[in-house]
Amino acid sequence: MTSTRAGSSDVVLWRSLGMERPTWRSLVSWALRLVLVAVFLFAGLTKAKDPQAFADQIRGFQIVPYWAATAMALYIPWLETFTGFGLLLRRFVPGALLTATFLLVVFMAAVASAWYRGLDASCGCFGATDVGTTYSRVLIRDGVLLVVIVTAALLGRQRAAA
Amino acid sequence: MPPHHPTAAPQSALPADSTRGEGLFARLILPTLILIALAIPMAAMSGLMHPKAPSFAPPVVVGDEIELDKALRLDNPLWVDARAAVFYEQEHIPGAIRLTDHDWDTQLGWFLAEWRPGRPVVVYCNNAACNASKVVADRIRSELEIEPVYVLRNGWDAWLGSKR
Repeated sequence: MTSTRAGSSDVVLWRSLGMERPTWRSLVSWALRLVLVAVFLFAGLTKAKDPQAFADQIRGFQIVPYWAATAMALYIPWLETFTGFGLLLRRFVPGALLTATFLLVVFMAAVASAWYRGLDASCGCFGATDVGTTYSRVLIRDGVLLVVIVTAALLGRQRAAA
Repeated sequence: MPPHHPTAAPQSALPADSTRGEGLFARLILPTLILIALAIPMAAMSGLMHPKAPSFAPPVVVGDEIELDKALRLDNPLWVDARAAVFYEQEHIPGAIRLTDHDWDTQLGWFLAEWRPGRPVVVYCNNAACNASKVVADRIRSELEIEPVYVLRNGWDAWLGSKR
C-alpha cells in the first residue's frame, strides 16, 4: 500500500513536470536517440562546411547528373542537421526517425551500387573526415544505425502504447 | 445517463496520450514535411552565400587536361595521386606520390622531394566526375609556381582502361 502511494506520488511529480515517469524502455529509446542526434548533427554540419567537396563525392558515385549532385550537396547536409534537431523534439521524433531511415537507405543503396559497379568513389558520409572508409565498413555502419533507429522507434512506440 | 467509471477515465493529458488519437498525418507526415521544408532555405542560402558553394554547371576545361597516352609520352612525369588514401594504398600508378587538397601541408614535403625543375607533373583522381585532381593541380601551379602541371583526363579510370 505504501509502495503504491509512493509510486502514485512519483507519477504525480513527473506529471507536474509535464512528463511521464521514465521506464527502462523510454530511457533506452532516449539514449539511442541521443546517439542518432550526435551522428546526424556531425554528419550534416561537417558536410555543410564544405559543400564543394561533398558534391565531388556525390559525383564520384556516377548516379545523378552534375546539377543534381550540386543540389544534393547543398540540401542533404541541412536535412541531416534538421533531422538531428528533430530527434530532440518530442513532436518531431517520428518524422525525424522516418527521415533518418530514408537518408540511410538512400546512402546504403548508393554505396552498394558503387561497390557493385566497381567504382572507387569515396563515401563522404561525414565530409572530409570520412574519405578513407571502405564500402563494407560504410554499409555495416549504416546498417547498425538503421537498427538503432528501428529500436528507438519500437521502444518509443511501446511506451506510447503502454 | 451513461454509467460513470472512474477507473476508465483518462489518467492524464500528457502528449503521449493526446497524440494517440491524432492521425498519421499529424504525428508522422507533417513533422517529416516540416523537416524537409526547413532544409530548403538553408540549402538555398548555402548555394548563394557559402564560399565553397559548388557550381551547377560543369567546370570549363581549361586546356590543362591530358590524355593518358600523351602523359605516358612525357619526359619522366611525376604522377600525383589526389584520391583518398584507401584507394592509393590499394593500387596507384607506379611511382605516384599522394598529394591531396585536404592533407596538403603534411604531404607537400613528399612532393617537393620528388619534383625537379622542368619535370612535368600529372595529377589524377578517380574519374572524369571528380574534381580533386584539378584542385590539386591549381594549387601546385598557384602556390608552388610549378609548370607544367597536367590533369589526367578520366583519371584512374583511364589508367585502368589502358590495362584491360
